[in-house]
Amino acid sequence: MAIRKRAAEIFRDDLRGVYIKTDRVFLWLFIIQWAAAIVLALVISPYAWAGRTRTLHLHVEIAVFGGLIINLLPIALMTLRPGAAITRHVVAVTQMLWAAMFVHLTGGRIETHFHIFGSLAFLSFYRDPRVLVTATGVVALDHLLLGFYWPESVYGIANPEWWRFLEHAAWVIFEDVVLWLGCRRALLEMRVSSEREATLDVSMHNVEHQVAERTAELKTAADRYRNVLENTSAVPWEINRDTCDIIYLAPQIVTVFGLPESAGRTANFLDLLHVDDREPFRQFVVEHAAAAASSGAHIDSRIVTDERALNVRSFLAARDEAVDSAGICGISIDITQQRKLEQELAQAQKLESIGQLSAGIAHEINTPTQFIGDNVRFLDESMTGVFSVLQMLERRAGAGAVGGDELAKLLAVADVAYLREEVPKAISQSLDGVARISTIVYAMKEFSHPAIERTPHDLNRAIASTITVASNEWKYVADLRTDFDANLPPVTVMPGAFNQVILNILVNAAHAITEANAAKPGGKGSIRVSTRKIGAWAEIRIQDSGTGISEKIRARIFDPFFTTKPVGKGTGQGLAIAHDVVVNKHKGTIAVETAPGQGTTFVIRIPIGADDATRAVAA
Amino acid sequence: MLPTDSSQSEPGAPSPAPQRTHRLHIACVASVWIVGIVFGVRQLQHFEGTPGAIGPTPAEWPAGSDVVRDARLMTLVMLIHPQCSCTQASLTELAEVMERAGGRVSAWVLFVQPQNAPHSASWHEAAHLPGVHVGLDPNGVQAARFGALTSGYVVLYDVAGRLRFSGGITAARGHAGKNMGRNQLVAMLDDTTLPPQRHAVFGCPLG
Repeated sequence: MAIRKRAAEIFRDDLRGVYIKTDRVFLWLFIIQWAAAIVLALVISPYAWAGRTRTLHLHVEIAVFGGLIINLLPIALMTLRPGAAITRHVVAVTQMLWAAMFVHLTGGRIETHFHIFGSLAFLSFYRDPRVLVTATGVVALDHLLLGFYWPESVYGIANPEWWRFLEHAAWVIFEDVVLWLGCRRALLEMRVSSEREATLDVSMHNVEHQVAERTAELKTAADRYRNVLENTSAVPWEINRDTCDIIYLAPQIVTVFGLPESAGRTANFLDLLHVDDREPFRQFVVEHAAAAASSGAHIDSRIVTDERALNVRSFLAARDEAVDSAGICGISIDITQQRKLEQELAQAQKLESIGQLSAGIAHEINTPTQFIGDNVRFLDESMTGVFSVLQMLERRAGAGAVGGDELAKLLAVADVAYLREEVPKAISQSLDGVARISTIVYAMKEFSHPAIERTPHDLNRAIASTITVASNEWKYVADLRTDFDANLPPVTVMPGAFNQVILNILVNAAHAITEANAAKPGGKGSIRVSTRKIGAWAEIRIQDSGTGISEKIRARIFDPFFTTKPVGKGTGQGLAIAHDVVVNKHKGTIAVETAPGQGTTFVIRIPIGADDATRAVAA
Repeated sequence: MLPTDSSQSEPGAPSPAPQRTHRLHIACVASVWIVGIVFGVRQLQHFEGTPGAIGPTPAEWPAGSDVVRDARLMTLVMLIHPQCSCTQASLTELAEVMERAGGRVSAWVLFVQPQNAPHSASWHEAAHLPGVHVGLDPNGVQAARFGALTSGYVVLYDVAGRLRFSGGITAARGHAGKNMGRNQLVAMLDDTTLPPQRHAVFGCPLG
């Protein structure tokens, strides 16, 4: 219906356009005919003569004034009623009047009568058959009237038959039929064209309507997403994957990251970052930008300005394969506080571990302290007896010579033989105790090192210190054996974090062995700690003979706060921290080889000379 | 010059107030138009359809005529005003007559004009008509002899010198085409027993 209605509108408008254009054609035709009539009159019959006297021929007056009057009404209608039916019918009448004018001016030449047929063809431009009827009616009326009033001028005889005018009109009608068929065909083509155009119009209108709707929806969605994106505490961005030039940078980078206004106008993303973090970021983008799915990979970088310094973590979005773009989207979040909390958590966990170990460490220190005290008291008592004997000898020596029997009696009183045997033992034990205390204190000092910088470190010594610190946890339940690779070079690690990893695994091993030992009272498990250099990696293996880890929970052992221990025994952070330290901070790997009832082996691999930095900014 | 398409539903229809004014204007112009056309047609018809004067035409060939009559043929004389615009139509009809005459007629076209006046264009046209002789009639002497007062006047005398036809051979001033005068003249050529015919003549006065 919409198409039909639109087609009718288009057809009506097009037809009206045809009427108006044809009016204009006839306007010029009338003017040209008027001029032609004047010229014809002046050429053919300029003067009427009476002997030697001449006057302006009536034909000239008729051409000038008659032509003006003939043109008056059609031109008025073309001006006031363009395209109207009355206009084109008056045009038809006028054109036939011009035909009559030319016939008279040319003295009735038969050739001039062809003007009628040509005029009908022009009138068919209106594509309105009724106009042809009007013109034909004028011709018929003219012949009818002439036949009635002046028959000789038309038919050459005085009394023609009444129907003679029809003979002339018939030829006109013949042409009318042909022209009518032409008009009909032209109108049909116009209708077909109108319907085609209407279909196109309606389709375009529907498409435009849909486009407008979709555009509005897209705009609403875009506004919604922009509102979300630019009001979060994360900073989304889009950069060129090759050059890192900024395509889009969310404006909240200034407020959320606390950067100066100029940061929002930065041209290249790398310019925002610390100079040491630029190349790693660029390589990260190049390496991950082509991925079809987001891998969750991220990179931590530093942003340093005059006012502040912060850590940001950047994630890349998956590449949209439908969009052929040189850009890659991503998002950056401020992890400065998170990093600080992680450090505090790590420190707290370390302190927690130390707290847990404090009793054992206190025992380890107290035990040698006790026997050092006992030995020193023994030495004190022994020296008192020796000094007494020496004092008696001094007195006797002062009185004269001391006999051998008396000397032997004094030595027996001092129990020198006993002292000769026990005093060295006491001194040796005391020195041993001091060494043990010294070792424990040193290990504690080593373990508690708050180093947050990655430095080359002797892993064998670090592991040994940690073993010492944790000795009270394992020594009652297991025998621990070390197998260190003497050729292991210094490995670039964060010493404090690395020690925490070893400690956490050792404590877990001890607890697992304890649980295993519960089934065989009196038995002791075993822990084996080994290091190896394998290519560019340092491998640390910690193998225990504990209960092992079931298949069901194996995938979750590194989850934060996941634990199988009773409440108060563990918080489930140990292995999560170990995983984070090894994998995220050192770009290493941590794997588990285990089976229920067969113990567990943790295999840690750390790159010996790892150079990608995850340095922390001092808070 | 013409106004462009308006947005009215009725083609070319302006709003009501101007529409009334337009109707008035159109009515005035239409009235002038109709009156003018009717007046013009009547003037034209009067001018073209009013026959010219005819003088007394001798029933026998006038003696002393400068026109040489061929006793073996019928003689036709047409007298015309050299500048009359109706002459063209008369000569066209004469050509038709001479075509139908087929050598039975000796035709003369006399140009009635002042002495020493230059030949007009129609002189050359008449001179090229087959079987037609052209001549001058200075000061209209021959015209007076034959009773010709109007340009295009034709007389036809038979071999015996008797008048068979007189008058014009056009239907109106300056109009060529079928007409009773020509028909009558041609009929005379075919049948000399017919009574003499007379027809109105349409043209400029000779004198």
